[in-house]
Amino acid sequence: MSGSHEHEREPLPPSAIERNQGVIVRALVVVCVLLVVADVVFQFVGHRHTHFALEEWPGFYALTGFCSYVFLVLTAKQLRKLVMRPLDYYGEEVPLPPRGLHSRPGTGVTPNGFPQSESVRDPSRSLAPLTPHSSRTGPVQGADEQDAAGENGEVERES
Amino acid sequence: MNALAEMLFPGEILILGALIVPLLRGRLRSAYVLALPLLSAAQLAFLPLGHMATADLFGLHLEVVRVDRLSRIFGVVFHIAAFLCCLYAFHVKKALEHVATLVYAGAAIAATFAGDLVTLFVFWELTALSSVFLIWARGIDEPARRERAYRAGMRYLIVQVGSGVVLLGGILLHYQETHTLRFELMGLHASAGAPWILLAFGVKAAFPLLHNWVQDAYPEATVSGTVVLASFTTKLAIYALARGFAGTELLIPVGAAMTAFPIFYAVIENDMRRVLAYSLNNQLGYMVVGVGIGTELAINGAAAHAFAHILYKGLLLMSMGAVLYRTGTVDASRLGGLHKSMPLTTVFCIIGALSISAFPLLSGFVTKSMVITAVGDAHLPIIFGVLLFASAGVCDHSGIKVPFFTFFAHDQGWRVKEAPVHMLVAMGIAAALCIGIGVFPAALYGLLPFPAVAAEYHAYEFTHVITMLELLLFAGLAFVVLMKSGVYPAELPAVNVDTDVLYRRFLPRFVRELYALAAYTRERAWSATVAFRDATLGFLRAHHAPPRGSLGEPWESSRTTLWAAIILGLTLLLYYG
Repeated sequence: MSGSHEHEREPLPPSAIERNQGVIVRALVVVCVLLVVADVVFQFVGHRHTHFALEEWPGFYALTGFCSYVFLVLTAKQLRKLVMRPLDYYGEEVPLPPRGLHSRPGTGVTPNGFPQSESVRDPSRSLAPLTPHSSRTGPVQGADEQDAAGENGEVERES
Repeated sequence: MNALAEMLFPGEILILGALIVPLLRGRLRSAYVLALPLLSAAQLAFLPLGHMATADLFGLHLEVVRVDRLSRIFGVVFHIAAFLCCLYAFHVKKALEHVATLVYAGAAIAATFAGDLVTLFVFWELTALSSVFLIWARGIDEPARRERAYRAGMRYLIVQVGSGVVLLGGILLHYQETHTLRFELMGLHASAGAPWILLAFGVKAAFPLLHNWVQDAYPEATVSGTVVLASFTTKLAIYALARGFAGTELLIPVGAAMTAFPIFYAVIENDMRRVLAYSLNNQLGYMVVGVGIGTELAINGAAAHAFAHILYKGLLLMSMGAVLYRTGTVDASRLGGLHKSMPLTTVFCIIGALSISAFPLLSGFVTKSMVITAVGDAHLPIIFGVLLFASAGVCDHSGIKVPFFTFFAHDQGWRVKEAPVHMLVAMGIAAALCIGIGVFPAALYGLLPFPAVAAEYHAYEFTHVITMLELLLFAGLAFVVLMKSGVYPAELPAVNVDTDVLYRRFLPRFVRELYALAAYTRERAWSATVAFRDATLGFLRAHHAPPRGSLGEPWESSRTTLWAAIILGLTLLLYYG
């Protein structure tokens, strides 16, 4: 909690997990490959307990997992066009994040939770990480945030 | 001891004990609140299987308590949840939340052990009435949210009490036809009341299109309130379904829809506790499918999954509650990088996430597989496919999205303290139970309604382990691919309309329009009347004001006499004719 809130917005130094992202991803790929290999080998040496013919194919579950996931995420992304509305859509105020016990002191969060006033005072500090949104989402944001975000344009998310 | 335990109904200790909470202060109150669930659990331990207590009320024969294997497993897990919730809420200063938690948990336990429909109804309603204070309490803690919490609570209460009213109607119809109040397997065709009873259970179990109260209300509750809410109501409904409607085939497609439908919303939702509410809905789907199949294995699966679910869902909501407590937000768009400041919470959240994803060696794996195996045994390929799809989906929103975007992803510079000790201990116990059940499933299997069938079931069978790992890890791989390619949808602060748009937007608008139409009609009718009156009077004035017109001119006496004679003649004719 030390330091002024100028520093609080800056990310902490990268942790071991963040430094080794590549290793983790590669490990995942290796494990996936090994699983499929094990599955194929098992096909010849073991006996599968299955209920349906499709399940007999080695790699059926791998393919199902991958495709289901991609289908789900892409469909959900399209669903946004249909169901996404601004935060005040139901006319219920978007309340102030609680202060005191529940929040970091002195972060200057504004009623809708975005540090707008700070950014007005100090345009050099990017708002982008706090409101990652693309230019498509205009109607969702309030006018103020849109202005602030306009400078940053589309924000890439780090993986 | 047995006799002492049998004097009270299960849950009574919690309900009555809660009333003393406001009288106590400080450490004494904290200790008392923690002791109550333990005392109640001890009472349950002394109640033998097959125990019954009856009462006669207004000429009705009520079976207030019935302890059997099905009710006992739910009773056990409700006690564990009650204790963890009380521990997690250790920091709460106001008595209101503690009282609400204890009464709510006690009511859920009492409803579980209710042997007749009237007792079930009473405690069914008590769960609704007591739990709403967990939502309203947020308005007390955070005055800025008062209006919002009040409205969310009212919507919740209307749905919950409405479910109770439907239940009561169903019970009356059922009693009229069957002359029994026993709560036992009835099925859809037992009586005219049975479908209504099923509907009441369905509202609380969050059936598709009846589901939205969960996602509407739960995230609006307090830090600990959400954990409490998510533990009891819906699982009580699952128990009631398993008791009354096991083997009702309608439940199979309904449950399958529940597993698949909410996960799309979970992907795009920004509020992490709402994401978990959608995922809760999805997990209930597996249980409903199990109940619908109704074989011994499937009922075992539904009960076991409910047991495991309460623990890992509680764990996930506790970790998000800790984040909310420390940062003041659970919006994915404003979180990230918290693993540096809240490492233990991160670890517990990941354990919960892997459990709900059904990773081997964790609780979800050994329970969900029972339901899926039962679906396979029943040869329902479409349902089987939907459940597999949903399993990959759970891996996304609860398994990856919740921990990743909160604790990793983009570091937003949060510098917060680790969660308070009591929260860490509660999360630690829940995490230990998740791992314990995953590693030693036999302990849970021994508690199931059909232990003989459960003993023959082996979750750690090579085919199952390798296929489940493939499913989950390739789903994880898909996540990496989508993130790296920038296709994965960004977290956006927004409202996603669900069925709640009907009653939060369209219905009020409809009523407003109706009022406007009524006002407009009245206005127009009034002005038309006035205009007609004025026109008539104007016409009369214009044409018949003296001395103009036939009405305006003075009458001659001869004419008056003539009219009097005519009217007299007519009267005489009518009178004597």
